[in-house]
Amino acid sequence: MSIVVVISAGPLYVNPLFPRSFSFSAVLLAALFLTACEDPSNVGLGLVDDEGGNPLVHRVTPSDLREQELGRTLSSSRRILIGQVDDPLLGLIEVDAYVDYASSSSSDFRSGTIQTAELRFLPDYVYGDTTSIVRAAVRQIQSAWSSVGLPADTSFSVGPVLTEFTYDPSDTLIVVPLPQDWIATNDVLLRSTSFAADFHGFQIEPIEGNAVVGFGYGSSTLRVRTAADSASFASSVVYLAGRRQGDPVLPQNRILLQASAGPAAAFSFNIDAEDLPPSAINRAVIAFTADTLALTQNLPASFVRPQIAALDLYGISPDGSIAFLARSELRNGRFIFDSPFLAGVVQDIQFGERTFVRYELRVPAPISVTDSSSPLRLLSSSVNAVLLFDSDAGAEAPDASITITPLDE
Amino acid sequence: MNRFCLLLCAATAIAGSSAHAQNNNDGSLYSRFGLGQLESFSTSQSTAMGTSGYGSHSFNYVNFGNPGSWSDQVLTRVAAGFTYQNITIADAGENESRLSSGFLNSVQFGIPVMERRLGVAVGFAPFSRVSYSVQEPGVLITSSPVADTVDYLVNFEGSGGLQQIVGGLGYRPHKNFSIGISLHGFFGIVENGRRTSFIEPASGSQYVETNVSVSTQLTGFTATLGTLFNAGTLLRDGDLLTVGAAFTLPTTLSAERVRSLGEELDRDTLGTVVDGDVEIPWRLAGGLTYQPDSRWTISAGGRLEPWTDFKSDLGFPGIEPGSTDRLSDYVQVGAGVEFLPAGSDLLAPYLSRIGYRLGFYHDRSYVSPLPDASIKTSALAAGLSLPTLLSGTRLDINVEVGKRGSTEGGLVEDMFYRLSANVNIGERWFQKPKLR
Repeated sequence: MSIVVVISAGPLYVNPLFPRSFSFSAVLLAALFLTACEDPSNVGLGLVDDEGGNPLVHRVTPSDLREQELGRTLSSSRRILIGQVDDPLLGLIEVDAYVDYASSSSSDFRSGTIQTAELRFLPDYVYGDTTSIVRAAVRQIQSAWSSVGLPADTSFSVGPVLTEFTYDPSDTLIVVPLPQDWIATNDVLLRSTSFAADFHGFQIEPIEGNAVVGFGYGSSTLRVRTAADSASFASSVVYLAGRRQGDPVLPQNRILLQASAGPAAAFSFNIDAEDLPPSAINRAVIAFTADTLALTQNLPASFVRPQIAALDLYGISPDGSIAFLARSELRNGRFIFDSPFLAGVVQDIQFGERTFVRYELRVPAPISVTDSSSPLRLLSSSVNAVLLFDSDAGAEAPDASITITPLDE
Repeated sequence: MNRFCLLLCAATAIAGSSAHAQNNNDGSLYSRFGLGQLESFSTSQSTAMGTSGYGSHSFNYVNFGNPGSWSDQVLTRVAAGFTYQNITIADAGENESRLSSGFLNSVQFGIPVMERRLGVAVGFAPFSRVSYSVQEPGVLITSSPVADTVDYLVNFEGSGGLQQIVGGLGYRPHKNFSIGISLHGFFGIVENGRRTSFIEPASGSQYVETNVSVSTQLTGFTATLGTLFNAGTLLRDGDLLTVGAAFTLPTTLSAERVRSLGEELDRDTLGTVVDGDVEIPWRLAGGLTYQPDSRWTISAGGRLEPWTDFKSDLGFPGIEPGSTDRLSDYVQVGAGVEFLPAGSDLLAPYLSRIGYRLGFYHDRSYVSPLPDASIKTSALAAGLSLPTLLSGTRLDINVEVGKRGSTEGGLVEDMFYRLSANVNIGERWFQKPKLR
């Protein structure tokens, strides 16, 4: 039902022979008369003739599911991750962290002389041997850098080792004092108002251990004290340089996806126009089955191997630009990509208005997770892994369907 | 004049809203075929008298059925009318569909240039109306990669139609003869579409609705020549017989057709735009009116349009290019009577100044959904013409009850009920008062 509201311009002329109520009555009567109400049914359907409109399901098989190198970073990491782990299933993985800090200080602080400076970390993640003691080295980054658009395992220019520290899994707080000679050299810089622009942060590199550990982004600080005051510089930008130093030993017909260290995954999804009539796309569903059992079996003592809980589906255009298509969380052992946006993209492909050279599965980037409290924001700042059944895995192979409504009768 | 401005503003705004009401897909299924259901509005008086106003003089109405009558004008007039329609569509299995809607009859504006001798008029009125909706339910079952069962509806819908802006003049060169001419500008979009919508399943799967439509934009011009002859004192003193006829020229409309997918503001064009011509036939309307005295008016009239001559480069539902097996000549006949107890006495009691009207009409549609079947409409009409405190202004309330089609041979039968209200305001503009 629709109701039309008519607004007349200008004042109503009050004439004793033509009451204002007449005008209002006429307008309201018009509004009432322009209402509409529908209760349609299939009466008379036979007179319309058979004009189609009935949807069909068309099976499409994603093919050539394969490993793909990690894409460039889309945003700063949300966790400081360091360590090295020799995973008996997934191989040797190493992660360095590059951390920059934001300035925050008072006039009292800036007018004093720095007495102590320390890095403080609150651990919130572990992958590998939970009893392993991790030892790491701290170096100062020499030049400005950005965390966006970096390929995997990028390195920056760094200075000599400033200090080393160890992390015991039982620790709830890690404090890393910085040496006095470094403090003296950087006293003015640390108290200056241009600290954020002139100071480029630290590299934290693992030396030994059998775990990758993570420290909270917001809770990791550079704390600096003078006689009169102190300042806590919060971590502002983090880049994780992950790399795989040893090959995984995987069951047959599985491919590996692992955050930070790689790989990601790619596949082909061909919608052949000759097989498909001109259609409107009502729904597109793509499903991948995960082998969750293999990652939880035969774990060494005290070894944890968190799994990837969600994946993003991207389309890669011929010019290399990426388009986000859908997100799926792992449910009942499957990632199922199913969204109206994905259907719209398939529609564009069918009309020839868009082409992708391949499709990729990636761990969600923090910038793409709008809910700041969602754990998905931390997924890419981990070394979580998942095994997917590949295209030769029979019943567990990737599967897809599109629901179409043929446009022609 | 403020009253006029108010009514003009309201009528103009509501004229645009008429298109909105037409887009609600809530009329007769028979409006799907051809260019839609033909509409015709002369005056609210003739509507209540069986649409028989082609041979009527009137000082109280701007009669768009015959431009020759525009010479009759005494007061500057603005008129607008609205109709509420309730329609029940039934098939042979006694299944029913109920729809209701409101729409604009017309907006009319008439000015006497020389009182009772020369007048001009301009107006807006629908020429045809497309408004229907039929549903077909279904169930879609998927097994892979996700098992799902979802209900869906396929809606076959149509909306739009042809509108016309009419303007012209009428002249009375002799007391017994009037002639008039009007120009008609046609414009409009006829849209037929198919919408597949899904009822979200419990699984939460999200389906995208499909909306495929074929929109045909039509524009063109034509003209109407009308004449009226009247003679008095035929059967008794003071009586008046008027005979009139109006002929509308055949015309060729320019058509542009687009097939699209998607919603109103986000449509993808499918294929290329197709242009073509649509030839609509001439129209001959005629009627006579006999007024034995100032209280009684008896009229009868009819209309003929040879739609078997219709030609189109583009197909329309029920009409394929080069085929006429579903076309018929449109014929309409009607008659009615009006009784105004007070006659011309403006000082009579209010109830005596109310006009009471009764009429009927019958027509045969120009197009049928099935070959060799004709769709006929029969209706009774009645109305009251209520005077207001101003002598030149009346409020006409009309009702119509009618039947269209039948349930035989796979057709459907419409039972329609209409209630309309028409405001007809008359005032003296641009005229010097004769008494100072």
